[in-house]
Amino acid sequence: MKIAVLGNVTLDFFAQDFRRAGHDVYLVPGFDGWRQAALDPSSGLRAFAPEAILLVLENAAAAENVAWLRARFPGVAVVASPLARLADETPGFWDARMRQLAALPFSLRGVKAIEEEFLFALDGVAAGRAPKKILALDGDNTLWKGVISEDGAAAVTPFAEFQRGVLALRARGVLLVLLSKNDPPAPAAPITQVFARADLPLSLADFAEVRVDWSPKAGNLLAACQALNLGVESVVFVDDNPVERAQMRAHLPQVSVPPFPADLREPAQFLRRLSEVYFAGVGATAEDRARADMYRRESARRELAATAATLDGYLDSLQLVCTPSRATVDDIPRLAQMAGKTNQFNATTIRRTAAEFAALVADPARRVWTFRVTDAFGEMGIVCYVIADPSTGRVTDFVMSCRAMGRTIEQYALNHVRRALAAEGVTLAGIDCAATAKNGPFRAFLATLAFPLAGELRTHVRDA
Amino acid sequence: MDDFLLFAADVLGVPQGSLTLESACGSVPEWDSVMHLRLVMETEARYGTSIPLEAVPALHTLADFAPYVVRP
Repeated sequence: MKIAVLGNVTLDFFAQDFRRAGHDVYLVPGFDGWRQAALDPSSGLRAFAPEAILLVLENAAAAENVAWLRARFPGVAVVASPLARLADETPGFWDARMRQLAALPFSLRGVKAIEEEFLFALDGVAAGRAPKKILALDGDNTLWKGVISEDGAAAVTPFAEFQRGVLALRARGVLLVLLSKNDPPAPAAPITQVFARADLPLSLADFAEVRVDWSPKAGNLLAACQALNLGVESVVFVDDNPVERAQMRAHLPQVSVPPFPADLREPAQFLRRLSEVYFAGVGATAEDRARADMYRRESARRELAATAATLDGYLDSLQLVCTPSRATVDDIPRLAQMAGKTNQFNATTIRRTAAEFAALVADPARRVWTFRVTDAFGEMGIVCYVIADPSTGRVTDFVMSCRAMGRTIEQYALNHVRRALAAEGVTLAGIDCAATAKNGPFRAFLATLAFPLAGELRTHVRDA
Repeated sequence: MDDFLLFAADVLGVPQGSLTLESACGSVPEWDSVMHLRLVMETEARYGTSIPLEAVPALHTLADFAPYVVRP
């Protein structure tokens, strides 16, 4: 990658390290001349055409300078190093001698901390394409120190603080997947024994998907994502083994694979980076926070599906109950969230903002319905919303969470919309649809419909 | 000091065996003034020693590092 390192301190150490890691690096000659170089169309910086910029500024407002650079380098990842916070987290961050000798205020540890933070942030910028929802974790030397198949489940040392941090992410709604090369979790298997230990904060039940065997992790991760109905681009993969990380990057480049920390006994910085870089958007709504538990119930639902003789029997056994409502201002955060991240069952994929929803909810000329669902395993929350324009009789937005798919909730919702419009004397004329690479499931549903609808669509969902 | 010669070659990014105790800052192309500071810091980190500010300018050859490459 082509990295420009800009700032108001000596930056040569960063250039040395990034070059050794195989990157192409540019430093502005002289000292603190980066603003002129950015403005000068004939500068070396411009000719270099960086893909990423690391800004290391002491005693300067980072945010303003980042905004200034972004405006001049559109499309380039610009990251300012958060020096004050890194200094708080890193003992011996500063070196007063080197500051005096060479205007290099950082120790080697400080330099290392700045570089690691930058690489993390770059991954986050790249990851910005898709919000992350899944944290896939290795076991040996990642969740505990040691190898359970060799040392024994009783002999390994848990990274307890790291595990508690992982549980905190789970509580915010991050889904956990266990990807470990070990014997599968039979009752006497080491993986079962280690998670049964009282001093291990995590338990196997905390994972939405457990994939423990000797097959390649990329394949196991794909299968786990399929079971969770989420794309691999929503995964962050943490593994101590550089070979596993490289294989994951090679086979599934959409997966984020952050650098592994030097010592997981002090995991605060690593956890903070995971949380900020990848999962900052998770945890905003009650549905988010309940998601990890909902997905666990999802596993129970799938097991029921495997035992139910027919699909009808299975859907009936789920005891699906729905409460349709006209949306209120209280629903806006959930609506905006669903609009932002629902891809598969999304008619038009219009990424409406909270402000737009506020306007729609208040607009007497539009109808916004939410659909809240419970089943035999518990509360699923609002899993669907529909917006209609009575003046045309058309549905303009039809969005349903992917974890609600396959339960005839969409038929129930459309029945409700048809009846509600009919009560106003309006015939449901159709649903606006814009094909995307991902909304095949919605288009498949639309293809089963003929407007105007002749009557009620068949559904296994009952009224509350 | 053999270990230190290998270590210094690694820090400077030059082939192993290309350095002697007489190698000096400026005589090896990779060993410029910024790399000199890096060598000071890396030496401290590896050998657990501390090189005082006033001693840094007096370090010219690799032999000059001898007092700081002794493990305490």
